[in-house]
Amino acid sequence: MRNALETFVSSRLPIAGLVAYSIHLQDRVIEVQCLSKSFYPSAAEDMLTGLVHAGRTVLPVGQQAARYCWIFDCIRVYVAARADGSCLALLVENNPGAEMNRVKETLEAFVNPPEPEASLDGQALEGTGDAKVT
Amino acid sequence: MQQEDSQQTQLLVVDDDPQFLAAVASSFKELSEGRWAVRTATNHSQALEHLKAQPMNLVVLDVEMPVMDGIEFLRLLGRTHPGQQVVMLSERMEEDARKTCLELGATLFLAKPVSPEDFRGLFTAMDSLAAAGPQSGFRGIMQRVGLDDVLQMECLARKSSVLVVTTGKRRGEIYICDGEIIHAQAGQLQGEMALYGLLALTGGEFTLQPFAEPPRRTISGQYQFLLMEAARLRDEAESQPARGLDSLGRPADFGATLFDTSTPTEARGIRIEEVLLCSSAREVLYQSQCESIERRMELFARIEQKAVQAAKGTPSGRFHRMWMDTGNGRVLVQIQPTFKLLVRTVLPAQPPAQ
Repeated sequence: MRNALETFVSSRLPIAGLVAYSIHLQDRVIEVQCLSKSFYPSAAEDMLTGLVHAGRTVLPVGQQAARYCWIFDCIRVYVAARADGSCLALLVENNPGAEMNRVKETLEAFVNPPEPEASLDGQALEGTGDAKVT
Repeated sequence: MQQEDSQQTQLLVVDDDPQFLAAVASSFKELSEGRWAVRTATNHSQALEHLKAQPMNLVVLDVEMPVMDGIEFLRLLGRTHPGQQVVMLSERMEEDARKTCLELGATLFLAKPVSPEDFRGLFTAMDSLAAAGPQSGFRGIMQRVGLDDVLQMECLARKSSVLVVTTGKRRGEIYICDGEIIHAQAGQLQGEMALYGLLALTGGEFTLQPFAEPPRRTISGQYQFLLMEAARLRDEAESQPARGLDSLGRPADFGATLFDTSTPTEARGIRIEEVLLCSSAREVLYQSQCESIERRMELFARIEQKAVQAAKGTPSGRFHRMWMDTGNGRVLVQIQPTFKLLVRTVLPAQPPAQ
């Protein structure tokens, strides 16, 4: 499953406007990539990690599955969190040329994987919750 | 006499009705107190002779004329006298004709005057037009152009203007000052809500007018951000109008954004559970069903602190807001320099699968 998660976003690239992304398990980052020169890779990683964790602290007690977004002047960070604690965070430029539909599709596919992806390394992705990314 | 003519506003009126031409000439000469020289023509050949002999400040064309109607003549003028200011008059005021005339470059499309009052109104409109003179720059038609394209061009060029948008009976204005969007209004809405509502329109007409200071400035922030936000809201509205993750941040959930205000939040089944609006000095400006204001204040502070901390050392710009969707409810937290806002909504229960 971890391998599948690690290649989850890379298999969907390129996505115009996507600056960086990260994939998190409960307590650690398993994949992070910075795709733009406008961000230092370490700064992008720190930002994604910080906002994923900050989002968790806002969640109602006992709730894991959620979608949230942090919006800044120049960028926004989308996070799709599944009930199993794994998260996908996408840092996207505020640019009309950004492929928002593909960003949304990627988040949706992470939360509710299509059939071929539902079985990764022989395991079904379970407990994705009732979250639905639009 | 020639000297006097050169100082006068030169007007050419083309209409197949000699009585109407006589009435216009008499009325406009009187109303202009001799400032206007009015020439008349009953067909396009005579009109072209006049134009050949003397440049005109304004040409007025009757739409409904025999042989070559006003629209055909307007099309011809576009080729032979590009940049000529033309006002079209019509008895029937048909929408198709109006649209065609404006597309062909007519400056105004007006009802043909019948009463002295009408003549005065027409004279006033044309006097303003003649005083303004022809605008420099290119004139053309852009098809399939979006309002965001126009805004982007204005902002990139750091211009100041007012973009007036009309669709049916609705009207809205977007104010641009030195390349920044500073205000928008549409019906009862003002600020970002109005801007997003206007940018969500799928059709209509626009004109760019000279900048005038708005009643107040309601929008700040980079235009790229605003346009991006508008594009996102539009995409989401198209893809899932009823409910969805991103629509938590959609202003439509917290007040009518689009011109169509016939479906309020409650009617769509979305229930607002809690609202808290407070000033930057933590003064509560409005609250509804907020169980613990103190805890909400802490939430504001925590979110702001986390966002600022996470963005430190990055070119992210100022933090605006965050939203969270947990499947059955949504929370929006907006942090602005002058206020903080929290809105919590509950989504309608999903109907059981068939």
